[in-house]
Amino acid sequence: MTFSLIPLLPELTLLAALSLILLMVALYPSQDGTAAYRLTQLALWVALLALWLTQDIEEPQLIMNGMLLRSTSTLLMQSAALLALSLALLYGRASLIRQKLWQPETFMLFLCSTLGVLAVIGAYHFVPLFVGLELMALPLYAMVALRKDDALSIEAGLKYFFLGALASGFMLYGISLVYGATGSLGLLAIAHLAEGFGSSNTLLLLGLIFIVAGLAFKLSAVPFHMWAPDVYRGAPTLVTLFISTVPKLAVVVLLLRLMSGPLSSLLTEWQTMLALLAVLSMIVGAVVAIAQPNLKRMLAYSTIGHMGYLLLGALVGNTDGSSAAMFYILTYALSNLVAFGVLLSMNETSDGDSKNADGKITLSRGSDLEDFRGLYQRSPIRAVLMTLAMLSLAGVPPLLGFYGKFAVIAVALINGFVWLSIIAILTSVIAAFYYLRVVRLMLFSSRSEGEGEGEILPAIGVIPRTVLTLNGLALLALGLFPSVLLDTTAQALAWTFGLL
Amino acid sequence: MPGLEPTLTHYLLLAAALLVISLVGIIANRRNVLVLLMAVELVLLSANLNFVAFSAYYNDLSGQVMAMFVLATVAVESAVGLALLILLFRRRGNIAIQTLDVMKG
Repeated sequence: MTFSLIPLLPELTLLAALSLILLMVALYPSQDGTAAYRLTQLALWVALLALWLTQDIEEPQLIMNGMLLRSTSTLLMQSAALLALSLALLYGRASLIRQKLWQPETFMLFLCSTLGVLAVIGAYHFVPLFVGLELMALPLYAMVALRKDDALSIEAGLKYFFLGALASGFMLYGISLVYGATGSLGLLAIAHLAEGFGSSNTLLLLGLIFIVAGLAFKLSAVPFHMWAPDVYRGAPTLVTLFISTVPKLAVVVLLLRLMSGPLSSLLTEWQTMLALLAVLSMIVGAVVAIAQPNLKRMLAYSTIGHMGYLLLGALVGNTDGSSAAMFYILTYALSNLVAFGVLLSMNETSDGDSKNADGKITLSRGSDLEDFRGLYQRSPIRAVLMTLAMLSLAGVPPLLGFYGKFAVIAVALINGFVWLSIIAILTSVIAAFYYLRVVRLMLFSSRSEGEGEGEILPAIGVIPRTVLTLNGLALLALGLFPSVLLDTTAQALAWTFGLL
Repeated sequence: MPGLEPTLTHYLLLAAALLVISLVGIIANRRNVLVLLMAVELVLLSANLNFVAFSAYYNDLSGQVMAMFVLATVAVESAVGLALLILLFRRRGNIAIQTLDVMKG
């Protein structure tokens, strides 16, 4: 049996960069992050290039003895993950330096997690799937607690670790039950073996419930969302951006893949559970976000709400639904990058650990909504970009986010999920209120006399500013011509012939 | 002795019992983070027992291979968890769960 390592080039590139950074740290322990940053960016773009060059576009194929899948949809999502990390690091560069996280180790963790994301997106067997999930999640726990002297960061890291490890445990327990029901760990084999099974197969059904609980945690869908606000708030902002974007891409692919292939015989049960998660997420995401005084916490609830809409597309359970869900996660990722890009360019004091006289720990500032008051007068470009991001997340036409919401609600309506669609429309109206509140604060109110005087916003470098502006304009441009991205996703899925 | 050999059901019941014990450990434990860590690892190990039991039942090696991979990830996971605990102890001087309430999630 022969196999070539050529199709694995993207993953191997990241692994090589990871090892190289480790080696650099071992040889020159006192260096700062500059070399590691450049190496990471280089590796990401080389991996992106390798991904496109080594891919036989038309035909989905299983490589490595059926362990990994290469298809147009994995190509699309893996490229999105690599691109998102590259952009995030570019936007967060200055913020990392300000927060004294400009170390090689930071980039090592980002690379390691992204390697896990690539593995999960490609996995077509439960072994690489579970190992990839852990490879993706374990560096995240460390990344959240990266500010080692900040009590908030450590607290968030621990909370994330315990709930994340529990979710992995549930997921694994579910996988073990599916293995017990079918006697195989390969997704293709399971799809054949489980074909005739209905909900009468207790093992498979129990396995499905555990797996859905694990997935819902990773997606931060209600009622498995408790970690999200604290982790978003406590983590360094760049890590928050990463958590809210890149791993979500992988988990969405995983959800759609399990639902359309190996566990498709239980479609009704999937739909019941996902509908429950979707409704709760949409409602909680829209209502609780209104009460949040901090933008990072607000964006956490915004993510929860968005995952609700995404599940609405996913639960339809056919190709149209999957492609709507995938399109949705891409629009969400693109809008989120802009919102966090602006947030990363703000002053964030890392005084989460400064204790008052009475020993109480105060929360750090810089990401509170009040910090955005009158931003337009201080920095028009930040205010305009943030406005674009907020309107896109709210789903205001003609921005990209509108078409994401439109696609999932349309596909749900066509397939007869009328009540869910009505709830989705109502909650998106409620959610628009808190997004527009940020816009109003930035554009139409001004700070009172003397407040924040002498405060200077950090300058943004030329390259990050240009790219961030382009990213913001892309929300508008892709919104005016939505068919570009919409067709790409639909085509990517159509070409994979059920092998998602 | 015939009739007294453990069957698949016994192993599955044991694994399910381990899962319940660890869940109780997570929910009922209000004091020590270290116990929480042990309970969380126990969830993964109960799933591992399932894999090995099914592997023997189906006479299929892949379940045991999976179990080895899981053991490795469990080890890595406890390493990360302990590192976080050390950070917490350095910062706060104790590892009680009650101190994890600065942000009310």
